[in-house]
Amino acid sequence: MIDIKKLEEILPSVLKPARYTGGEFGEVNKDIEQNTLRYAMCFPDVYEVGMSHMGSAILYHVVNTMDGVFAERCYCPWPDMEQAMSENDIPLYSLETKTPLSEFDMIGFNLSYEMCYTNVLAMIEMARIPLHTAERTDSMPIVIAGGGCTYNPEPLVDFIDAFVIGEGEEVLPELIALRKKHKTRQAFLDAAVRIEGVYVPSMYDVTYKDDNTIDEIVPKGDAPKTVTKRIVADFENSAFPESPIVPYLGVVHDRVTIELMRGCSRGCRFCQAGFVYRPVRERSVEKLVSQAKNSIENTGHEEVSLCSLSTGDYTDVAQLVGGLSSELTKSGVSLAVPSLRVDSFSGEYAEQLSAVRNKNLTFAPEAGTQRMRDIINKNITDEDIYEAARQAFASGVNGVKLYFMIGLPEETDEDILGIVSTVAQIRKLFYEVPKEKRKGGLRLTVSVACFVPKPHTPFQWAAQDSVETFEVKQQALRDGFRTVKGVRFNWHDAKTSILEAVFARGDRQLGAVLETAYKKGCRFDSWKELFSFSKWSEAFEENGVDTAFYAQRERELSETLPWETISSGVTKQLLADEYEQAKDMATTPDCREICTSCGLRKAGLCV
Amino acid sequence: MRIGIEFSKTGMAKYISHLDLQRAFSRAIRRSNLPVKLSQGFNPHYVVSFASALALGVASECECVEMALSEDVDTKVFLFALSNALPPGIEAKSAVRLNDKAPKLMAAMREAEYTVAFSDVDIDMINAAVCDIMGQAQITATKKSKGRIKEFDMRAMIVSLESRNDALVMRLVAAPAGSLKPDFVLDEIKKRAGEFSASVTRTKLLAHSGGKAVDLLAACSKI
Ligand code: SF4
Repeated sequence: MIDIKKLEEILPSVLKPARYTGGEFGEVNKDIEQNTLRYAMCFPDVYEVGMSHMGSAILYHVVNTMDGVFAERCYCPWPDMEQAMSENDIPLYSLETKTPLSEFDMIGFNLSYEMCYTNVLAMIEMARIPLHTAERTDSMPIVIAGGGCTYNPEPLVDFIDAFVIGEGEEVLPELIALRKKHKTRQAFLDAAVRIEGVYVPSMYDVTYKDDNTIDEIVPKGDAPKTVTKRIVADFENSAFPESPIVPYLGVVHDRVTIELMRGCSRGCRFCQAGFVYRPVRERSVEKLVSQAKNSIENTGHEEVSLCSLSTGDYTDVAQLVGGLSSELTKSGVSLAVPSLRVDSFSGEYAEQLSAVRNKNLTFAPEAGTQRMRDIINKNITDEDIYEAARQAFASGVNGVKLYFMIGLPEETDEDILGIVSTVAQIRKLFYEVPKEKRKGGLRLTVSVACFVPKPHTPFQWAAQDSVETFEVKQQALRDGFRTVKGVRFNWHDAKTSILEAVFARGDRQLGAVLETAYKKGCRFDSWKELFSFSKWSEAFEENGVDTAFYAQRERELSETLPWETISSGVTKQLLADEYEQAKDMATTPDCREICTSCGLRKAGLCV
Repeated sequence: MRIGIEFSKTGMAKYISHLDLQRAFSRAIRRSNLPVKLSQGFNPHYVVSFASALALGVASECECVEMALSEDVDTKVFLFALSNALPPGIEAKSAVRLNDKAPKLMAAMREAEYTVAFSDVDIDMINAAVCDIMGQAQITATKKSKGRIKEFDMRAMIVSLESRNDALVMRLVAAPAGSLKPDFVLDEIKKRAGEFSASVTRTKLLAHSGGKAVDLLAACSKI
């Protein structure tokens, strides 16, 4: 255990000390015996963010149901706490038992977004574990990572011993069981490569060509040529934490979250989640209603939210919302429904929603013209959008959030201005609803993201706009929205988006940049107030690495991509075909209607 | 029915803010299924009110909260169900039926007692500082209120300071019109005795009755 007295001395002086105390309702505690395997689940962001992460809650539950294994949590200390801990010689510790992380057998990081990478490095060093895998000894914990970013783990290979690719519910317990067997690092890693879905980067040699692109990736020992993602076989009955931890602090998603479905069959060409989380699997209405009910009873939360990539695509969505709201209103619990697609927003559904007093609606048209939506394969028409808005307004909705993206492949000025006209039209529709039927004034928020090309999508070869181009486009939108009354316009920072693109499609040469940026003090890069682009620029310059090589270069289809070893089950050929289709503005139907033979079925992942 | 609960907040739970504590109680109530009244309106919440907010970092043996119930429940049954639903570190100690005519706990509050345990300090230095503080007619302190800095006489809000064994027992004003946080007194002691570290526990919540300080829950439950 760390020195609790010292900890108590610093806690009163830091922001939100409850981030660092643990002891919440529902926290797991176990007797620690000689042979208990101790696993630290690390989330490289602040407590309130990490505690809102559904995947971590599931894995905490899964690992802690294993006999002889105890999983504890750890989040990234905010800079004030990092400083206080270093000044008082307190190492990074687990919340449950306040054990220094260096005493664990295995440490697992969740990698949900690229902008958390500097925090991973900070946490490893705060745990007093050598930053580089090569410097770790047998008495030290094995450091693993999982989550969405592991579909291109290359920028982190210097620091992480092994990566779990895909859904962790089954493979993580297998890896933990293996750790119980193998006490030495090398024996463990040699055996780990034989588990499906585990990628051990030190077992691959990467060589580069003169132009800095990859020449060859060569596996060593038993390491497979490609590591294919894992998924849970039976989603309906897969583990779901009905008694999750109830935080004291107001966290980002402070509610019960039930997971309706995994995967999305739409095939939007920019969307990594859409490709890597295939195939679509749903849970039954009965199962979900019972999970919601039990979770509310166990946690006492006041709200339930539905989590999926595209809630409106859930087969029995009206029945589900109806079933949930009748169950929940009894105990004064409300229902939140995020991320809707406009074409699946039916009138009946709209009414159900208004019954649970949801006055806000989120639409993601993504692009402002039909042409552009065809390119990205967002299969909705202007009329779909307007009809959905009409119905929503008629049912009493008066808050609308719209999501768009700029910098998409083949984009023209017309596509940018199309965003403004689409928003103007939606605004007009609100005021066409008879005054007595609409509620209050319209709150219209428009968020415009910068396109980031992601691995394992049809746009993985595409070039990203430069900071300058993004900023010109953002200015055009600002000017445009001046003509539309009452719109709140938010846009993503172009510099952050470039960095995201660099790390999303980066290779092993970025490890040094990451380390330099971390040493310069970069932390919490996804937090606007802490992000320092100048430190990052210095880090790139000092390492002689050009961001444009990773972000703004259109890659050849023949190029060996850094993430070639990792497979989501979708073939490179399918992605290349889709990229061609995009250039021809040809759309591809939802794969629940027509299977496009993306490769999953062949890989045995889709039935 | 009105019910008053006394609970402790110890260990790491002392770093839970008042706002977070309120939320933790609502969730505990929902988990316990006890018939606590829900307010009307768009965002229904349980009708729960705390006697006095506790400063972050201060432990307590004696926090009080009252709840309105939609039906009568035996106080022992209530205590048992709530105890089971509360998170670790927060422990319900007793439950009493409150007099319907008594003021709200919050309105009846007059004083709070704190017990301070010191480490790394010469207790004689503390005692000397305490004597000096008690001998002052007035001690001006400042606090921020609504964004502005306000001066006030903190001496007038110290009821008593008393050494007991190696600890210091402080009685401070804690009333609807204003409360003195224990930190103010500790800072004054530090000015005189130098730096030290201390752990503070709230040990009594008091109302006034017939010119005397009396236990808050007892005062509000008398018929
Ligand atoms: S195999 Fe066919 S149905 Fe399955 S995810 Fe791929 S495209 Fe969709």
